[in-house]
Amino acid sequence: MAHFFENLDPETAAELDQLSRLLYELREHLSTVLAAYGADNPAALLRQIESGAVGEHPAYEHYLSARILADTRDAARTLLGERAKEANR
Amino acid sequence: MSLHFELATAVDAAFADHLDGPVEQKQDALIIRLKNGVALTVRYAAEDAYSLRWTYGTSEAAIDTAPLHSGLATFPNHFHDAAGRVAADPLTRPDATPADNLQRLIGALLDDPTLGAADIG
Repeated sequence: MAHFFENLDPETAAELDQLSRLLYELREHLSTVLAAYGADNPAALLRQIESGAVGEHPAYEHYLSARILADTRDAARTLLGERAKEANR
Repeated sequence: MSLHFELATAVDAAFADHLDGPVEQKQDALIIRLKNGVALTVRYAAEDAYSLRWTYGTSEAAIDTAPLHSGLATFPNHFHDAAGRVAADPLTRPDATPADNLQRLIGALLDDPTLGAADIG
């Protein structure tokens, strides 16, 4: 299989590399936040807060962090896909 | 993250003379340090889902939208004062724009870092 970056110009390759690293960091950060509560996703953490299973704070801040990280990850994933498609045309 | 980027840009422009450095952008939050000693952490996930938490000296207070205080007039948004009391939110509204809410809060914190907590019964 050819190397993914083989036919890309250096600038585009650097951009895709940066986006890939950001995606990895966001995924790890999100996983760490949710794992502290044994939650699979932000909505599950919010349910724990609403039910009183965990205290209001800092759990609510962690819930918001999880939403922000998940939204950013989705945006970065979409952007990476678009840029990779453009680069390989 | 783009919402935080927009908020950071707006705060940098509107409060340049009152900031103790540029707004700091984390992956999940903004950190805003005011020259009067207030350090504000902003987590804005959506217009109706936010936490605005600040320290001033050794005290800490916050406004947030955790849906737990249904008896308050401003539910779900509410104010945690520096004494640990929970009261109706005197400043922000989930139906206002994040920029308006944040600028209103920063303006109030520049006038009074305790946000009138001493007057809340």
